[in-house]
Amino acid sequence: MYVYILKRLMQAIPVLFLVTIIVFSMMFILPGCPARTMLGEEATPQEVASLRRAMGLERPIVVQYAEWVGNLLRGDFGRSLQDGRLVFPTLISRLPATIELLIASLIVSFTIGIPIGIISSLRRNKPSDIFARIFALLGISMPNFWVGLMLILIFSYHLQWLPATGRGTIANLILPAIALGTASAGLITRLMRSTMLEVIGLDYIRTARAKGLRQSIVVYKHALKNALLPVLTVVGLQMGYGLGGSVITETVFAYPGIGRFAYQRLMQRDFPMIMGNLLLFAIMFIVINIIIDILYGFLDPRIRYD
Amino acid sequence: MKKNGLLSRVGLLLLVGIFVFSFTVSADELRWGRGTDATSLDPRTVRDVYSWEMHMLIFNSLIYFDDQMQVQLDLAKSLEFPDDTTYLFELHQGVKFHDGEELTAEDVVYTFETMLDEEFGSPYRGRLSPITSVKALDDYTVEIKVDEPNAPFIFELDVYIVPKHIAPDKMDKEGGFAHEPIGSGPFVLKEWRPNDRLEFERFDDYWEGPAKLSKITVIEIPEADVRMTEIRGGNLDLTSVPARYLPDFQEDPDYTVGQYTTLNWFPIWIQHTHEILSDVRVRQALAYATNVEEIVEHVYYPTGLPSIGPIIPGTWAEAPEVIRRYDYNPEKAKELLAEAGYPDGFEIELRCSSGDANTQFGEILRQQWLLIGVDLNVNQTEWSTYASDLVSSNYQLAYSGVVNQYDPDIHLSRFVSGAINGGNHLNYVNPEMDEVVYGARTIIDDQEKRAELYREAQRIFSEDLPAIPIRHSILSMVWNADLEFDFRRGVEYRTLNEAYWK
Repeated sequence: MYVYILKRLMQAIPVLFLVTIIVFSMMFILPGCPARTMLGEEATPQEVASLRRAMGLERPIVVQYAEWVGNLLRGDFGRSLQDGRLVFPTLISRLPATIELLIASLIVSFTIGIPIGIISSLRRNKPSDIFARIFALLGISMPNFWVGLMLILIFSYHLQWLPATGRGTIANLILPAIALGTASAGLITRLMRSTMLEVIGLDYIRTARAKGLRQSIVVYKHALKNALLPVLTVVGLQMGYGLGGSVITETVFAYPGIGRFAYQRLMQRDFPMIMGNLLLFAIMFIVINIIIDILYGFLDPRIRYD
Repeated sequence: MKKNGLLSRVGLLLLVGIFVFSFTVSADELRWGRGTDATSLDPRTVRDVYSWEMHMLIFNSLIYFDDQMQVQLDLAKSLEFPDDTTYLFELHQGVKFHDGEELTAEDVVYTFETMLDEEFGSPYRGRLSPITSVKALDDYTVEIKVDEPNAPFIFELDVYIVPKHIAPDKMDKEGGFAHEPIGSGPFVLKEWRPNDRLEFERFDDYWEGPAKLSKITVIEIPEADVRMTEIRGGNLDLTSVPARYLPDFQEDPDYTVGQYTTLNWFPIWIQHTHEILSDVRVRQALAYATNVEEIVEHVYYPTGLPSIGPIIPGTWAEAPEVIRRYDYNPEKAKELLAEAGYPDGFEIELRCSSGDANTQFGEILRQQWLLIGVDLNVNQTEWSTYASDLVSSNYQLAYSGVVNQYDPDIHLSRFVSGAINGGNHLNYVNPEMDEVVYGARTIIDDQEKRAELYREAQRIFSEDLPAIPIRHSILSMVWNADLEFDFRRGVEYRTLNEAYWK
């Protein structure tokens, strides 16, 4: 087991290395110069050039990259170009809000997706199934910023039931969690439906029915247990998509997580912050996937790691 | 059952894990929503408006300017002009910084010295460069000398004073004071969570008496539509909303809409080296052919105001009574064109930057001018291209604004020979105009005399029409009608220390 975890962690190293290269080169592909952004429209080209030199942006790219990675290895993510704040602590201070939102959105997508998927599979091709499939299709196709704005329009503006922004209470979390969780809910509905259909056709379910067990026991005790496994593996992927989606969702809801921070600092061309943010996203994505792989071993007795 | 049990337990744990604590808003708290966060709270280091609004709560300045752009005293008890290059400030005694130390002349000198220090790199240094010396004559008297008589320069002395014993003398790239500032203003910064919120508490020892509001929370909400929703839902007390919602708020008794005309002015710039445009009759014809009311109503409603001249309405130098008007009159325009020798009109190009409003403006203007036979080609380019062509006089007609007319000189100096305040890219030459504008520049202590000269400048402008005035712009804020808040141009959020809940 420990050998496996160690192996997975070792595998993450080349991935992270690649990520640093991609993240770093993106800074050079992005249009817009941070020095120009800081100085504003009125600045002369000379002023921009001298600030670029002062910021170290004029040195060869390879040198800049090597210095950045060297600092990263020492745990130094650098400082913001915009306000001089340390990158790492600033990002970490906003991480709990995003994790809270991700978990809430997962709860939303599972509590909506799993029951609808089960119902849809049990009533195959009946109206409720068709309804569920349409829901899944809509959920997957609607962009989350649009869902977010619609939720704000209905629940905050017209009904005034829930606040549109902020953090701190469950009420603050409901709308952004729904906006972020809708796409996953659609996906989980589909997956749940197809795995349930597969499992229900298997011999052991027929045996259970032949024993005269009630439908509910057959479904929830025998079928669901096995059908749920592939769905759980989706969690990791969904968390990853959620991280990406959080950039938009958090901006729409002015939610103080790292997603919105990434968006705002991107607009300001605050390179050290953006690079730190992207790296943190990548690390989170990798860690989540490792955890899911390990959890899978606990949940499925057929899988052994040693 | 085992796995379902695990799942439900995990679920329960997560629910409990999500913190629950309710938001309670005290009766004398203000929640203020803005689209963008401050970048630095050291007022010497940045010039962006979002930081500046926060500096207003934390710091004081020697003087400031009211809605008519008249000088008002803040930390200064008096301001004298011993000669026309010297400003003598006497400070109030007993002004305390947030840490309890007294604010003295030394702090004022220190603030100006660091801003003038090349190594410090303040963005204000260039503007303050006329200063030749800043001296503390005693604990409460500051003397500032400049190189030559320069009336509009006084505006640059509206600088927030930082404590010498705390504020660093080098631009602190790592924050520190810029993140945890100490000032003498009515509110103390308690916490700044970047790109989220700033929390202020009332400063009980404020020298003018403590503010009525006990707490101000400034919340960053990037989406304007969401800010609008939040003030509707009662989750914000003060914010700006997209212009299209303003009429709704103006009709609603639960809200107050505060508006003022900004210090920006948008004319059509005319290149006077152009053969046709150098004829005053042609310029007047174009003004008569321009239906400014229609343009403002269709393109800029409800944030635009038709303009008749370069001086901002409501400021001390405004003299509408001497201004010659060019109310929409295509017949008169045609006559003037014929007189000038262009009975069939001519072809001309208008440059402006990209953007929907400029596109609409160009379309409407083209239609209006076609009626008198003038064939207008609108050439929109990206802003930086437009701006560099504008300053290098590479245009026939151009449309863009000039900002921050804290003194009439700022906009009028565009129309005099010699390069001051960004220069005369129009190549307009009029000795009469030079005489009055340069004359008014050197009078530093007699505003009435200056106003007289600017009255003359406005008359000359309206007769000779070096540029065609189009519009001014209006800034609006919306707040809860129960909040008593005096929001005015220039003063802006300085009055938040007197704001209260009814």
